[in-house]
Amino acid sequence: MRAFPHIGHGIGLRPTHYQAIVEAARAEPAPVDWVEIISENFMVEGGNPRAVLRDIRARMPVVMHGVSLSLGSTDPLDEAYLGRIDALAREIEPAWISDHLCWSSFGGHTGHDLWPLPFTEEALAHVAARVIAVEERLGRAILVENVSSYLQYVHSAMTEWEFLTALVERTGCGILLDVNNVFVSAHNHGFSARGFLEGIPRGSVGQIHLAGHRDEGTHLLDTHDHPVCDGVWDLYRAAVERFGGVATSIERDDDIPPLAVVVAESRRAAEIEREVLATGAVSVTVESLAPSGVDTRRETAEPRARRHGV
Amino acid sequence: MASDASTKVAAGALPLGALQALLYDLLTAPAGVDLGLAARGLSGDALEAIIVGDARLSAAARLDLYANMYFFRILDVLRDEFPRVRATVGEAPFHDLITDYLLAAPPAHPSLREVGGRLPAYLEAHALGVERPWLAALAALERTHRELFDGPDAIPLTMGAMRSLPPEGFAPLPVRLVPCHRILEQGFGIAGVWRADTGKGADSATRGELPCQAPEARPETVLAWRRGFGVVHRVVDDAAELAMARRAAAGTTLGGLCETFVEARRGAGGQEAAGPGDDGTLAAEAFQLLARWVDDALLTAA
Repeated sequence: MRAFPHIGHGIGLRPTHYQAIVEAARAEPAPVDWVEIISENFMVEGGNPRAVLRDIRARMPVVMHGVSLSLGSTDPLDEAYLGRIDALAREIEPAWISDHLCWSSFGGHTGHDLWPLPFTEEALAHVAARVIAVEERLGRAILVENVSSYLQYVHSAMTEWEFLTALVERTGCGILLDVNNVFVSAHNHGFSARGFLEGIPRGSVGQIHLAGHRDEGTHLLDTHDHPVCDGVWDLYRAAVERFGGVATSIERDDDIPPLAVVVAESRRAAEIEREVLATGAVSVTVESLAPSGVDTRRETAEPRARRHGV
Repeated sequence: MASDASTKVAAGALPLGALQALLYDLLTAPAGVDLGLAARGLSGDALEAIIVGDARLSAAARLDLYANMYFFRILDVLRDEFPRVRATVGEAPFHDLITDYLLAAPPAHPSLREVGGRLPAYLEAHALGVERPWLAALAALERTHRELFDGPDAIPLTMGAMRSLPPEGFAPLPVRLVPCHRILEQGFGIAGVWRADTGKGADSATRGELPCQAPEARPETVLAWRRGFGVVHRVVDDAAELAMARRAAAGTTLGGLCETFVEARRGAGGQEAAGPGDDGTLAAEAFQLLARWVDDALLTAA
């Protein structure tokens, strides 16, 4: 796998925080090391979103996180969409580009959701071919994120972590490990969250997501409308113990608090990482992941669950 | 598709394409997964051969979680994008409108920004639009605001830049309307019933949104554009200004705009405005209008 640099601790850029983050980014030191954008929100011609992005990119690294690549769909890859990703990437030079292990389109129509795939050899071969095609089109390795899921398929022949591991081996992509999604899916399907982490190869994780969820009684719902819970913080600590220092970001998409609250969660992640690395109880160091051609110091609403509301 | 896939449900291991075809149909079924299955002559149990159900949630209930997310995510986006249409028709009819709309025009663009693009045209033939023939025009203006919000940038021409021109440089200066503009010609006086205070908050009930009153049925031309980072609009009821706007939209010169204005005034005013003594007055009027455009950040150097 090509290495993805550890660019520190960031947050997802959301419109509610545009003004605050522009001002915060001018501080020395800035309260966050980098921001992650939802790529689709910036595939527009101009206006405030692009102005904010230009301003922030001049001060810190930016990561492009997409929600519509639909890597698992049996529809053809959307060349126009890939072109827009490529154009945005050429303009802002992101540290990397990521999307999800899912399908979200069929028959030329888009669901604007992250639908889970069966973990079969057929699906693996299909997704791997598309990841390679995307990487060739964009001229760079991408990160693929595990999604929160509420269903599993009877005919899945492997676990999600086995699927992701094989995908990394076949394509050279990296993993965007969403620790909250692991926590949610483990609860919903009754597998061990720590077992998931142990099944992911060291050195394959290029980024970590942290977020909040909601307990609906029968299942956990990936809502991004709560602070990161203690269980997810514990799992994050275990992830750092296994994978070392990895660029980590906080996602918050609903009931969004003031920027300082989200930044505080990012700082807490940084503190946990420091604590773990200080103990030496980790086999992959920050340095071993660092080499990269990405110039991270150059100038510089993921779909989540909705409840049935009517 | 559905019949092929449905007959294989019992087999469990559908090929990926057939699996996605079946699930897409069920996820987007307007009345939920159970009724979607029933429409195919299947019970909820049929899904247990494909999706793992347990004591907490059946296979159909698990898929229904996704079906709800599909609909309500899009409904949320369109509620925010069309707050005046929603406030006018009411929450439940708006919900049903979007259910109908998604069946007729399922999302086909990777960005949620585009999901409402066809709603104004769809409303024209929908029962709600037939009941209120002006509703599609209201939706068109709301959609225009959305589209202009992140449309192309341009550096507006300033009065300072105009004043710095030498006298001989004024008339030939190439100009055009800022690209992020739209000229809407509608059959109703929509601008008169547009409530500027609608759509600023999160929930219509708590912010006391009121429905738009029925507008007068009459031709109305609205010029909408982005000024700074906000979208504004106003009615253009002066034929000379409209003629200028159309010419400026295509690109012209400052002199060309003044000529257009004078020609339009003379065409409209006939003999009364045609005397040679009026040229100075017309030129002054044209310049006054240009000054307003510049103040409104409507013009850019071409």
